[in-house]
Amino acid sequence: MQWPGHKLALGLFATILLAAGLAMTATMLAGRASDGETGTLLAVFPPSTQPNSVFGKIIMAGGKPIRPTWVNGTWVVHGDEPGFAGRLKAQGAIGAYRNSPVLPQLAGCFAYADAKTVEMFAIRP
Amino acid sequence: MSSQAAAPAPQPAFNPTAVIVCGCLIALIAFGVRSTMGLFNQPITEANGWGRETFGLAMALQNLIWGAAQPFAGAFADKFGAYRVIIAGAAIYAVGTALMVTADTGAMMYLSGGLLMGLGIAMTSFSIIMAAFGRLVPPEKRSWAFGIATAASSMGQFVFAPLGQAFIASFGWQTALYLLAGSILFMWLLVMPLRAAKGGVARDETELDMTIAEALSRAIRHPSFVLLTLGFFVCGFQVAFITVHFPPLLIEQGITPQLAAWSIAIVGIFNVVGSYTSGIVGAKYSRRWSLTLLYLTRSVVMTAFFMLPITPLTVVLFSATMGLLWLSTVPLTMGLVTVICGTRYMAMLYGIVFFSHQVGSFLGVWLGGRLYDQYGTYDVVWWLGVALGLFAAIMHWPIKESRAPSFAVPEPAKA
Repeated sequence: MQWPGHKLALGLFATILLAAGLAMTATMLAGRASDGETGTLLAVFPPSTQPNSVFGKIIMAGGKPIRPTWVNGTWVVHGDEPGFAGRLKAQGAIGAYRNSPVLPQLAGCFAYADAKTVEMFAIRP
Repeated sequence: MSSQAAAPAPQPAFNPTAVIVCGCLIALIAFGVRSTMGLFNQPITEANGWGRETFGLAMALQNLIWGAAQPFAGAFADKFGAYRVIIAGAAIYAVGTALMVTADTGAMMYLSGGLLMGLGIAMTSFSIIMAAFGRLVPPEKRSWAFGIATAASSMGQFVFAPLGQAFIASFGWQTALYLLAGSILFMWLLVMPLRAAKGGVARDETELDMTIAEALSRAIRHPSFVLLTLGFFVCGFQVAFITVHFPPLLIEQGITPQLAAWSIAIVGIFNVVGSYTSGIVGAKYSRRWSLTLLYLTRSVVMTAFFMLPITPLTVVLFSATMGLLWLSTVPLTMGLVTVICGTRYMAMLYGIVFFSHQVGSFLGVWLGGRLYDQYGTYDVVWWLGVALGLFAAIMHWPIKESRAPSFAVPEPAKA
């Protein structure tokens, strides 16, 4: 009986990563705020954008920067004027999101650890 | 007890690729769902008006129950077959996950998120999958199979962390838990290829036929098994301590929260590579020496990190190296259990070793916080981790990587 080897491992892990990536992309797209949306949002600018520049762009869009997240260019922002999300995009944001599914999770053999990590690094508007 | 040689190896009823893929997917789901629990901390705590302690205690219970139940789950897998244990375990795991929705008291949370989930994880985790692989896969492929099962478990967090977050964001935490419970039940479809991995059938002719009680009694009296168990305690201590306390330690040392978070992600990515590679290493080289070297390297890396100035470069290098050494102990340790005690009761005996790991994990998390509170620095517990790494290396050094005489069929007396 022929047992599989490294090719199977490579194929399996590549497929899993691809499926997870597609699922994540789909979720992010589904969570994308419409142009007219207001309130507390995640504003995602290109990662190479300097923090000062991001700060200015948020102000220019008529919003308030609340805090940066651990992902470069991604800020929690707030704006009450209608069309806030659209104005963020006009200022160069890749998108504005109601929530983000992206966050680091490390599961060793002791899951309680994750709770603390999540609290420290959660990206939530 | 009889001294007759074991029956011939079972043949998988399914294609070998299906056996490996389905086993890996079960391990991925089992490890993945539990890795999302941190996401539910805030919503469940807020919804019930609890302090952080209730949820945290439920999760601590879950981990300890997982460790304590693993030998029993393993014994059932050895006796009745891994697939039966996984079917029952998936049901318990799913019920525990779903019941968290209705848990409005601490007691209900301890029952659902603690007891039931802990039991379910013990019955479906990579320990059971590796035992199934150990019986189905030929000896020359066994270590590789242990490696891929561990790596698949590690990948579970990459799949389920965003999935859990997405479920919560899109449907709310209650529905997210129901969806995760449904994901667990998907194991029922995946378990069939493991069916030929039935207990009661040993792989090779050097193993004695004996009862579970006899196997346990012989194992705990065998020095190499005891040393292996003591050594695995250290793995749990170091991994759990770093997972919980490393990011705050970095921030305290002036590293940005961004890099501190990335350090955890780097550990996770390199962990998959390390787990798989250690399976390959275990097939080619001495597992005992590999583990000795691995724990020694952990101590050296931890020492170097603390002695050198902490910079973004050293943080990345440390995280990558520790990631490679993270769960790479698992395939090697399981491999040694198989070599020393055979495959007949490997699930139960690995469960004993794993319980020691979970006790170490608990102490790593708890002592890390306790000693920090007492001394106002992580120095003491960090050096304790270094010392324990050396202790583990010393424990693995004298292990005899061969079948224990009490588990081997005696050779015919020479004329």
